[in-house]
Amino acid sequence: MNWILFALSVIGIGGPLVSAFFAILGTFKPHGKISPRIHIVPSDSIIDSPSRLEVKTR
Amino acid sequence: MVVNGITESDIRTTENSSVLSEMIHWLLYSVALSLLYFALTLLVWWVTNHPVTWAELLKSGGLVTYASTLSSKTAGEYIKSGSRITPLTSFCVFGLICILASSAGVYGLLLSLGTAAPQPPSSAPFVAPERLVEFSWSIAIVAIVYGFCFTLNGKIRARQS
Repeated sequence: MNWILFALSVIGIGGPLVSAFFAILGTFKPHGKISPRIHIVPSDSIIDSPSRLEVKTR
Repeated sequence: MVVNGITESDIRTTENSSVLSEMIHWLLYSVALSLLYFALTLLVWWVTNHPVTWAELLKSGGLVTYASTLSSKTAGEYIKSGSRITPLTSFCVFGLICILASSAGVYGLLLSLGTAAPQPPSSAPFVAPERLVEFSWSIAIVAIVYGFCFTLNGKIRARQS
């Protein structure tokens, strides 16, 4: 194998695969048990029934 | 936790299916349809009885251009998807620089194969054309893997921010 092709292989294949590996590692990192996307906010009708809660998801 | 009949599991399932459909969309439009160009070129050659060789098809550098375009687009969308710079952002830029540098190197070598300058009969090309074609495929596959990983991470990151 030519030396220039070897150098290009190391840079062009090794570098992106290492960064892709860390991207996958970051993707599947656990983020805790409770989903942060659930927000419990008081309903508009809180005057009528103060104990009532409404769940909004976004 | 169950609220109004909606469980965390339901929400996560909906999010996962949404990300899955976006990734299928990405694979269809950024990979399959982009590479269809080469398949159609082969079809035209077959119809016109042109001899089909990989070196002939890829010596214009179409595949390395595709690799650099895909990785640049991926990095741009990934950086745009998050509001703050993380260590993964620097890995993304590092991967992009590696793909761009190697693509430029291979493109230069591919162009040197088709030079019109007169050469002595005994001179061999600096790198064998077959090796360059193989390397073009390798760069394209690596760029697709890189693009897939960072697009997936960017979509999940965009939902969390």
